[in-house]
Amino acid sequence: MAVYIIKRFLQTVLIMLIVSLITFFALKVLPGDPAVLILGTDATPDSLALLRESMGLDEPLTLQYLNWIGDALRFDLGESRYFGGDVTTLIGQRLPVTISLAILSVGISFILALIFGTIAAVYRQTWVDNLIRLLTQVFSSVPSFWLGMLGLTYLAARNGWFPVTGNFSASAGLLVNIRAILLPALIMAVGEVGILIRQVRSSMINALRSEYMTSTEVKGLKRPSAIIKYAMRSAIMTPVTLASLRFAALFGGTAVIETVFSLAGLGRLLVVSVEQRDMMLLQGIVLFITAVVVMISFVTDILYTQINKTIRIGG
Amino acid sequence: MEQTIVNAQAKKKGFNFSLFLGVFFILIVIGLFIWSFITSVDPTLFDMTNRFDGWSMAHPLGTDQFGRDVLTRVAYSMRSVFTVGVGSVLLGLIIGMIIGSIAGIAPTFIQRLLMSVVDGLIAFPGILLAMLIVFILGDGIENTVVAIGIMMVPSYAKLSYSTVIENKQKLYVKAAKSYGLSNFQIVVSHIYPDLLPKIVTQFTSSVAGAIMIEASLSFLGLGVQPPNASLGLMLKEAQKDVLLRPEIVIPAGVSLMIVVLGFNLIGDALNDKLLNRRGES
Repeated sequence: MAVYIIKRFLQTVLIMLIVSLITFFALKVLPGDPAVLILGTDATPDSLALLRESMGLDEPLTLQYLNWIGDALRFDLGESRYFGGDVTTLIGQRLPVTISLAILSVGISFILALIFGTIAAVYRQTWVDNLIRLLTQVFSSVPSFWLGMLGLTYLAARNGWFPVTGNFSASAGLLVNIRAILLPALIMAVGEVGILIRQVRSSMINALRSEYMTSTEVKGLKRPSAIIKYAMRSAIMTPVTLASLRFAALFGGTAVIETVFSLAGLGRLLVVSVEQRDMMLLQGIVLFITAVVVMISFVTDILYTQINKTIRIGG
Repeated sequence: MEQTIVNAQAKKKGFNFSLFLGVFFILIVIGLFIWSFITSVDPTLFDMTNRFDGWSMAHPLGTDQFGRDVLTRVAYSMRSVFTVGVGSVLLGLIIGMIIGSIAGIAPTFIQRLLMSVVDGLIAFPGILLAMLIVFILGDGIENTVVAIGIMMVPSYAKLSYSTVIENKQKLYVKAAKSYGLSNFQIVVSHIYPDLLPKIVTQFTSSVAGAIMIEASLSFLGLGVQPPNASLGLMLKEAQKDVLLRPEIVIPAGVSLMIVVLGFNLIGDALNDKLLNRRGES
């Protein structure tokens, strides 16, 4: 096991290394002088030279990369040109919204998937299963920003069920904050639920076929309680793994929904960095998000094998 | 032999409603695409006296916030749908297949290197990679194709790589090798036939994904730019007025859903038919 963890860890470090190389060198192929981009074309040669020196742009690329990655490891991602502040601080400010949004929507879709995936598995190959299957396709095909605009209009502005602009603040209570992001989270969950339902369905089918399910029948256990007590318990692992990977994916995929609901999250910050051509900010966010995603998949992997092992030993 | 397999499947499946629905949707989309070349209505013509018109004979889907004909704009958007959807996936498919095939037959060092880069590309979640590429190349329809195309590379590289590796162990490949065929010949004439159905299946679902990404990027203002029409762009432009006139987002949103759903349903049916797997095992 220890060998596996070390191997997997080294692999994670390697992936992070490649990601950082892609992020850094991709942006270096940009035509034009970054100093000119920052100061404008009418800047004096002296001030340009000064800025180049302070940004280390005269140094060789490999050294620039090493400096950047070394700083990043100390949580220093440089300065944002557009906001004029520390990139790390900016990310820190936007983080709570995005994390809560991702957790809430994965949570909602996971619960729904557990219910409908189990139903589909139990009634496999009947019209119920086919209907659920078709619906998962429909849900996965709805554009979230479109659904968001409709939800914002009908459920928030016209009915007042949800706040129109959900602003997240530490001073407000937990419930107020949840309410602020509940509608966007629900809409993201619609897009997520399809893939999870399929996963729950297929692992439930496997669980229902297993020997212990036959023995529960022999013992005279009622089928619904047998499904909930035994089948679900063993079928839940793969979907849990998938859910945590979906969380990671959502973490980088909130740009659209945050734009619709004007939430000040990481995704919105990312869009602004591209719009404003703020390279340091973009580099920082991309590196941060991918680092989180890679770490989550590492931890998920380790936990999954660990739990699988215990299940095997215990069972 | 092939005939019996087809017969057995036909008996088992019967009428495939999902496939029918998918084909139906895509036919509508193709119809709209063709319409954009037939119609004489200018999709960019402003008519400020006829803003937010309802559905009528003159404007079957009404007019938008600038008085432009919505049906014509939706039809023109289908050009972006096909250019970006099919173009980007083809690009990703070709690059991915080359990388995966080379990695499959190359020495261990090159194999590791190539597949590590592919793993690195996978680590970028959602549209992050596309946004990074748009930052570098700038927006516009061609750059959107490239950005989404690169996003599509990893899945095709992995698929080609695993198929090559899997087949390399098989007897017929060893036999072909003993006849003196080069690695390149073996991959192209003996392994690609096995890869093809997998690629076709993946292609259809990838197109659905690519269209959704294009719409998202255009919605964020980072994809297709005016005067080109795009469903995502239509929704972006409608955003200001949606609270008062929510009906103006219906045509573009429903069309986008029909396109994506159509490709998804066909992809799903192909998955059953060509690969004969249904997540059962």
